[in-house]
Amino acid sequence: MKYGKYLIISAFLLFTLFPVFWMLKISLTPDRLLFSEGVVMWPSRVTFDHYYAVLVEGSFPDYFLNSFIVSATTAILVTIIASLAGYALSRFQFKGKVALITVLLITQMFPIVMVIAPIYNVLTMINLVDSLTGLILVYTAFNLPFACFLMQTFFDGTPVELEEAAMIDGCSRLEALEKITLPLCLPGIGATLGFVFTAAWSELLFALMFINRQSQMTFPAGIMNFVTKFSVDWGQMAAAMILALIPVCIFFAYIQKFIVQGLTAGALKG
Amino acid sequence: MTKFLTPWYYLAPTILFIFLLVLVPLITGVSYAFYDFDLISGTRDFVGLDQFFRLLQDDKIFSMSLINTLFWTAASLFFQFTFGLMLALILNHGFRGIRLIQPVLFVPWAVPSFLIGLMWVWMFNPVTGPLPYLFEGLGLMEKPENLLSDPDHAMWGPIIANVWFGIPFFAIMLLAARRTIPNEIYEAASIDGVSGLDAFRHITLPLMAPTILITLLVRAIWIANFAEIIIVMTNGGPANSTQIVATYIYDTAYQKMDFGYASVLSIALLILLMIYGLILGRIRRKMTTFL
Amino acid sequence: MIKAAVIFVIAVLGFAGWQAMSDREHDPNNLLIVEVNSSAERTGLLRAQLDRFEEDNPGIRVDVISLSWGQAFEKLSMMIAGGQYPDVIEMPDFWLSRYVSAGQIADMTPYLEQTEFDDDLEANTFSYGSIRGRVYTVPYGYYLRAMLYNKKIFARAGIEKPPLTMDDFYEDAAKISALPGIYGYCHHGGRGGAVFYYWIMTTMNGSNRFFDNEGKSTFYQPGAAKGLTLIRDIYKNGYAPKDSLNWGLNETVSGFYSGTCAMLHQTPDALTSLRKRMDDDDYGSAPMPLGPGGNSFPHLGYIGWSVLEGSSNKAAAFKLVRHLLSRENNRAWAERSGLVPIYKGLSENIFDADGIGAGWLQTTKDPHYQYMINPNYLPDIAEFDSIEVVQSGQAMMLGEQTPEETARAWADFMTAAEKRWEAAE
Repeated sequence: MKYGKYLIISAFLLFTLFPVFWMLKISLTPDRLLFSEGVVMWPSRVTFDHYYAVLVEGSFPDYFLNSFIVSATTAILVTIIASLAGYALSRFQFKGKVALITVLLITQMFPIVMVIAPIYNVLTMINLVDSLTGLILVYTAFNLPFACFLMQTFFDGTPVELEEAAMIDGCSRLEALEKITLPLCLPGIGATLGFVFTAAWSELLFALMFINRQSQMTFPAGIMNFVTKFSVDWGQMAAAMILALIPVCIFFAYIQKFIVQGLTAGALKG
Repeated sequence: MTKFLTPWYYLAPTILFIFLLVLVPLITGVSYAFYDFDLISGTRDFVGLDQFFRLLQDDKIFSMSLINTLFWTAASLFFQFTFGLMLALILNHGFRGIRLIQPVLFVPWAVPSFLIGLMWVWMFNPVTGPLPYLFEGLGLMEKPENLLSDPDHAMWGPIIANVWFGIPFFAIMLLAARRTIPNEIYEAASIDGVSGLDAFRHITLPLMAPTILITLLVRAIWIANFAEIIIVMTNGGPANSTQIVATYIYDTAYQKMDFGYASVLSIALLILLMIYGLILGRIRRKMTTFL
Repeated sequence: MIKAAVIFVIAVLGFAGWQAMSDREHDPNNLLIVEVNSSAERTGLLRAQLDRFEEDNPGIRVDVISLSWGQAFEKLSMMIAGGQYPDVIEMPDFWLSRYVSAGQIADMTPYLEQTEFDDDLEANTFSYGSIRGRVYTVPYGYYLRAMLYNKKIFARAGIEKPPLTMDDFYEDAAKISALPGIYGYCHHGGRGGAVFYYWIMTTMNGSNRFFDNEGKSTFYQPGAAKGLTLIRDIYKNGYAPKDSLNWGLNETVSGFYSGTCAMLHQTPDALTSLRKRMDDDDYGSAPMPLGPGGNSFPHLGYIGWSVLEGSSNKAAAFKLVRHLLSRENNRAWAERSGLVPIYKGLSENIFDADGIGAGWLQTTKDPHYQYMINPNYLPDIAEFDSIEVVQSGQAMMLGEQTPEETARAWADFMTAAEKRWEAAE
């Protein structure tokens, strides 16, 4: 029984890591060996050419930078705005609350492909098509509903009493929020930042449709450049993929405990 | 008066963003359903409900893709949930090396979904990937062939990829939910001689039920709408065997450039999801009052 | 904390507002060209040719947007729908009628009437890009189909020559598939595969016409169904990889260079990808196999340059198109992309009679081979080819419907589309 646990964990680890290992293998296999050697666990010769091509010859450092700017700005922006909304949803009873929540929910149910063309028109109108700023605004809007619900759960998890006591002592509502409640919500804020950052980092469809210039491409859109009409540069694509996984994995490894903590705190009362 | 307005101050930025960049485009998108809309020329002719009748009368692919959507969602959800719950309980129990292993197990969640699709396409391909040989070795296949080209089983390809991607989400949600159950309850139960599987059935499961239900509800909607993995892996083929409503909408909008009909399909999907959401919402309310 | 947050939000929104306000007035001397079949190397060549144009025309600047083939159609339509008009776009043959019927493409006829081209310009160059007698696009090169074959695998199967006739094609495929893990034909069953079906149907039917004199589709004729039966049998008997049913262009090419399958129906531009991964001695090309009538009708497609109706400087845009099609530029362009050039005299520079390009060179010269041109003027054809033919083709290969039913369904569609087209005139 004791070993059973480790057996199951090993199975999970194998299932999780094997595809990633396979990509790593492909990224290190020289092009000519990729098909000629058949399916093998490790190529007879290893090359770093693909990594060199991606990092030095291609524009990938730019794509990474763009992706980082977009994801980080979006994450911070969403977390701030959603904190305010989540706070309102958690602390106030007001007319129109149910309607608002319903609208937020419905926006999550509609297929995104249908809004791409209308958004493109909105962005053209405000001169923000083909720009990272436009992408940030769109990502912010689309990540808000989920982030609002998330922040609401976290606020639900913090006691109202402390806040009310502070307000009786003469703090304004905002002061009470800043001094009492927000510090308690830090894991929740970390969780929201993490959710939004990963979502923005991996988003492809909007990035592909709204960005034309190479200089403004994010990493997922840039990676599609490896697919030309006749061939896919698998080696380079795999290398880019492995490189892209590194920052997001480090970030995610760091914040995942906040997510669990934050959600636990939120769910305790909710 | 100020009291009445206060919550809206906090909500204003959210509402502004959602109104301008989600709601307005969404309503524009919905309005396409009543037009014969051509993106390239920009012409739109009002056709009323004609396109809805077309959906109800003669669209075989829609009914087919609806069944596929059900299968895709149910199977993905079932395995994501089962394995996610298993993982959550083990993680909650703790083991040596957990600090290092837990983040690793959550990695798939951070991988962009189209890359997940590409990754698994490679895994399933007999020329480049190991899986056909594994399936052959397990006696599931006579010859090492590509699962994705077999119309009877192709859907399992994207489902496996989706399960890989979705386990961490459930594990995180359920781990958090499990941590909210105070240990005292288990201690008290074990004094009464209840432990192991019985404790799981009578304590863990009922107390986690609300979280489980809400997570399932939200996730089901999300999966039903989740087309990227399928588009990358099979593009709905072979012969529509992996066509779900979401991929069908994508095809209709961007391959046929028929935004009007794509919008009709989206509305149909939206209505079905809303009905489903209402039913699950009811069940949840009943269960929580019951417990 | 709240203060910092408020400052951050205001800063981001302020920046967005500043960007939105900033004037991006379009300068008519600043041309925008969109390429849709981009690759890093080709974009470099295009840029060099544009630099020359800028030198020759002081005051004019040309910017390039490079779209990747997979999403190009969606993105371009969206740009145009959003009111962002490029001046010149790269136009594949099967998109043309969609754009022309939407009124987005400028009529080049008056301009071309005043322009000189070298005498050996392929005779049909202007008519290929015409609709109802007006020229809307000028091809920059031809995507002609030939059969690539893997010499090593052929030798292993004991076959000396590439297939000459349809019977050879079938038998060779069968012999090769007897080798373990190798298949005869790299079937293109996914998106883009329609032209293969059309080739095998017309070639088995003995005529490269799509419609008879009454405007009825020739796919009603028994030869067409015979063609479909042939490819269905190749697939059903395991002479093509099972997953080739879903293959797009990419997968057929990688199936070929990985040695999974030994014959590939392709255009010469695929060679640029193949050369990187295979040795020149290991494969060759041959004309498409001959049908029972002693002829074969390989598909001839083209991509060209079009000027948009919404361009703010059409005169300069036409001039740019002419510049890109000059003999010197066309030669470099066709060489780089591996296309059949639009000037006949250039073909031999590009396809070596003894080398890998032999099959294409022979197709252009030997009268047994006549081109099959898709009815690209029909506005519905692109959608039909890319969706309907793929889906029903897959259903046929899987045995869900017979070749006869399939041919009839396609004929019904084609006939109706042709009728609509004639009625609209």
